[in-house]
Amino acid sequence: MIVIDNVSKTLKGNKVLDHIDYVFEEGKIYGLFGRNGCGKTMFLRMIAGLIIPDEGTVTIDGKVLHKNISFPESTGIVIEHMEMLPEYSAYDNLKILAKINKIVNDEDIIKVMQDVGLDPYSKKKVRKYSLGMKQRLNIAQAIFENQKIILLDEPTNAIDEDGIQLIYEKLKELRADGATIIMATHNKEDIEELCDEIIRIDGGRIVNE
Amino acid sequence: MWDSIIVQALRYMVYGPPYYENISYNTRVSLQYLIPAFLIMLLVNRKTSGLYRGYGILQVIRGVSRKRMILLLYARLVGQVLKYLGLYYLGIVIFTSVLYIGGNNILPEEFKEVVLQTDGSLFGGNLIMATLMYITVYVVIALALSFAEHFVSDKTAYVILITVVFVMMELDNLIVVTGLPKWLHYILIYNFAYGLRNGIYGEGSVVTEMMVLSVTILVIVVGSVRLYSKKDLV
Repeated sequence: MIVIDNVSKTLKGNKVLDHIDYVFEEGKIYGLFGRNGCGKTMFLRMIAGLIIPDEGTVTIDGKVLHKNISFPESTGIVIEHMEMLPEYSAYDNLKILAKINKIVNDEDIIKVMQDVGLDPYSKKKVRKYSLGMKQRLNIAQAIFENQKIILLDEPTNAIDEDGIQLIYEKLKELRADGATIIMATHNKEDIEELCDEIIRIDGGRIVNE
Repeated sequence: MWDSIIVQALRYMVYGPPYYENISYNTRVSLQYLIPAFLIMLLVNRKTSGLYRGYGILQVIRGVSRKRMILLLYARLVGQVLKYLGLYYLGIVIFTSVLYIGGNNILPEEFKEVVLQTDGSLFGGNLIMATLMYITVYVVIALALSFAEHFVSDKTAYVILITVVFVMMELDNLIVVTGLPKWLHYILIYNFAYGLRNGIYGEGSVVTEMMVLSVTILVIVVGSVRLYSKKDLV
């Protein structure tokens, strides 16, 4: 369970998050909805521990972020301009990341790549990937270690219709396994197809649920 | 002949390129001081900023210590500086070989080598110390560029460091010409790279210069670890 308690954040004079309270439960997909620059991405980054709130706390499974823990354990994230290692294949990129925590094996990597529609045996370097393939790889790295918290910023951007269906199926499967998935999106189809709860954000505040 | 070329090339690198009357001051300055600095900075640019987005984030989110990431980055930067200086040196060895084809200097009579004013040899303390200073200064320049990337964009950091290098070089000239306070020399650290400007043959004390360089490296490394550990990754 993720508890957001009265969190605010100001960056370069702009209040990007303004007294936000929310509780995210396990086994649900949440959709963050709002205009560009409304604070969706900052909200995701704050939950991931990438930005430190000026006020308030983020508590994950009873542990306060930046106090009891410096980052939320078992978290996957897809954010804009994510850069993998361009000179390696997609499989090698995942394999290198897998070495950090050593909780998945080669078969797991191959399975996730197939789930998102990537060829695990391709030697093609990531720098030669199309935007859509890069986005599939970004999603793969966010989920391939069976993360319990999955934070996705515009996950279906640049992905074709077949790919989107694969991603939807995978996210539903992860939800059924108990993952908490929080997704910032402009795409109404993402919201309608996947989200159990919709959180509308405007000016850094939650304006309705 | 080859061992003398190798030593001579090292002298060209750390003391300056061959002197030739028809080569203007600006060309010499560019060849000796500016081009190597600009090229090395260009090659090590964008390293710290990579920690704030993309792959750096993927590591942080998996619990890799930010302190470890900075220290590893700096170890890699030192390795890269050594690699690029090695390649640069190889280029100078080739250049020197061309100058001495057949064991003779093929340039005109008026060609003189500024390095002949020095008495260092490969196994003498002077040349080894000069080389060590040269490498250390470029490590400092690379680390300083990386440090600046904590605060400003890669491109801005690059422009700032180029300007700093240029100003340091010109100010050191002014100390000699106009009699500015000599202690100023010890903050113009880029000049420590060159045997005729640092304490080996020029003004100042090599020991003090090495201490300034060491303290600068320490401040940058500690400062970077502290900054990156507490900064938002936006």
